[in-house]
Amino acid sequence: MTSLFDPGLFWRYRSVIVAGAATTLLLGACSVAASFVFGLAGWLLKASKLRACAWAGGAYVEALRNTPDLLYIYGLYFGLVTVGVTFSAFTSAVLALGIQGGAYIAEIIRGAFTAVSNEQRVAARALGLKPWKSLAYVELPQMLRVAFPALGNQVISTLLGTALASVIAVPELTYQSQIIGDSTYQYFSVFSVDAVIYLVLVQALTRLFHLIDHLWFGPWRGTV
Amino acid sequence: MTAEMLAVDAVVKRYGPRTVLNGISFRVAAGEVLVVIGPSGGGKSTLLRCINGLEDFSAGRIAVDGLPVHARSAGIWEVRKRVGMIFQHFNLFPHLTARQNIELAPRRALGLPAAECRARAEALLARVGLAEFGGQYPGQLSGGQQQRVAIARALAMQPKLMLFDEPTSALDPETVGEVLAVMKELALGGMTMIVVTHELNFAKEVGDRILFMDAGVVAEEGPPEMLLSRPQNPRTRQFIQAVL
Amino acid sequence: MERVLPYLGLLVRGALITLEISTLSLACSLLIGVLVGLVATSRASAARAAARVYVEFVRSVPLLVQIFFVYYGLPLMFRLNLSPYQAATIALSLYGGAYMVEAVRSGIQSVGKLQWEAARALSLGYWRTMAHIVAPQAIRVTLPAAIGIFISLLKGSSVASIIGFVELLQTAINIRNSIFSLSPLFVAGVLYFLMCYGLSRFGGRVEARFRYGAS
Repeated sequence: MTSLFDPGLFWRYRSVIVAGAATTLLLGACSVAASFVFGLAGWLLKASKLRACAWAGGAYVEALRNTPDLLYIYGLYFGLVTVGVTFSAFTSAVLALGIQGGAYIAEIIRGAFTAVSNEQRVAARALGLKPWKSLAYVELPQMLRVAFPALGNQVISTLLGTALASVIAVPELTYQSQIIGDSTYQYFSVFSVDAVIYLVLVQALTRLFHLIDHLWFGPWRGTV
Repeated sequence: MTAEMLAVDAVVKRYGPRTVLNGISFRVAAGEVLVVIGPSGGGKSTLLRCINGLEDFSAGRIAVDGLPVHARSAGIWEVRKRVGMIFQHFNLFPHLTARQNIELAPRRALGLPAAECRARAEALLARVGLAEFGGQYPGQLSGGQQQRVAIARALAMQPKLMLFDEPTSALDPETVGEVLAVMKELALGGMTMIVVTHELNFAKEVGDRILFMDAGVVAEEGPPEMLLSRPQNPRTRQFIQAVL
Repeated sequence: MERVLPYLGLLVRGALITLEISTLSLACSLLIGVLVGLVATSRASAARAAARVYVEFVRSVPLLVQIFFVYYGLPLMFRLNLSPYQAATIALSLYGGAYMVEAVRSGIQSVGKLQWEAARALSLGYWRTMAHIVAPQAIRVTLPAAIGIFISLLKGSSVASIIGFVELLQTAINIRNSIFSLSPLFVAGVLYFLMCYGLSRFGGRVEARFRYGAS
């Protein structure tokens, strides 16, 4: 079965694989950051009292949740050229993953906001804390706790989405795997390794999020 | 000459078709402890929330320490700095320790330096008998302890008037006493208090005046000895007999 | 925008292809989900562990990588040839199947223990209980989740374009390459939106009916 799985492959191409994984992480981090920015903006828009803003926010969320990521990756990289806008492949990927993730994050924030009891706001107001201060010091921390698991899942989802950037030749892990596969024809080996690396990254992140959740939010729950 | 701390004049509040406050009027002098009793749905909670602008009202006037109360105005924040409120379900901030709960408003609403806020918090924790509990989260405290922290939190803003909305109704009987003790100490110290409660013993011991509220108005008012033992209004009599 | 008009028919055809492969994959996912779901709730711990490994793997690896693995990798292992359509369907079925396992598991677990005990008291065997008592109630949780998975498959099918399967997205890209306009991508987006949003509204109504129907 040496023709099927070649462990030596891993070693020979190690620098390419590591570089690919590093790019994946970098792309993932940038996309996650972008998705939080878009998500916050989307939530604020949708929650606005102005009807035009609320509609725009709602349209953003529904449009992005019901269309595929790949559409935006192509659209931003190839499509916008036709109207005179050029983005690099990396930027296109970050923006595409950012707006996609943002739509889900906007909804997560919305859910967390309604989950925070209104009486908390009332108490803050009674103490003389104006709305912005109440939001910053009382509501957001509680929203973060409620939203944390869902946000963690969304971060992982965005990280997995970075694989799509390979189609516009961003040199992340899956792209490098394709290159290696094309030159060695050891597709089974190379995509196995590819999959395992993602698996390890995701599992590590999941454990990390559980740990943070336990350490940061644990004491709040008290002894009950 | 005692100053007037609170003036409520013909206040009307409607929730859709229901009229919760029906032209209610009364005064509270500085240093006075007013106990408000009455059947549920009589508008007691709503009244308290109108006083510090948490709820708006449709007609009438409210003035706290001379300041007019309009829920939507910018001036309401000045009113709220003078009025402290204690809720039935404590409403402590679960993500902050007891000490941080107390420090938050002086620090962020008044802009006082951190050291002074901490000093105030420590003093108040000691005053309500929770000196060693500063580092605990609300989730780790009993109901009575949480309510005492809530009182300390309100006191941190150095209010002139304190509103208590059924402060012991959600507590186990064993812990009711510790909260009432703190409230009694506050009253003896000269704090102006309005207490909505079913604890008629507290009313007798600590109250200067009792207001019986029914159907959105003051049905009867008077000193505890009179109102509780010789109520004039049949509704009052009915209510007291049902509670005792 | 007008330059894309003659191509609308092609785009609609692409949408139908997307719909077709997604439906087929959904059916296979359902099969996989039910089989593995039953395994996942069984009493054999090895079987449960295997089911968990499958689900964790699919959820921790990008869909694209799974498609590449099936299209490029499996043929080497089994010495067969797979067309892009076949590989995509297999990969999407395995992908949807893992989420279906969760949906089926939640559905089965939503039926309280008391029901099982009542069934046992009536001397209904495991399979009879499953078929007549558990399944009809499990559907109330599983069906809305299945609709969500269907939507994911509709979006996921676009990834199959990368191995050469011509569905809606690839059709739009091809048209774009010949007329150099953003419009085909925009129209494709609208078509995806109509399919997915329509389904999610339908799913919402199904969920509401289950909630207000006989409990």
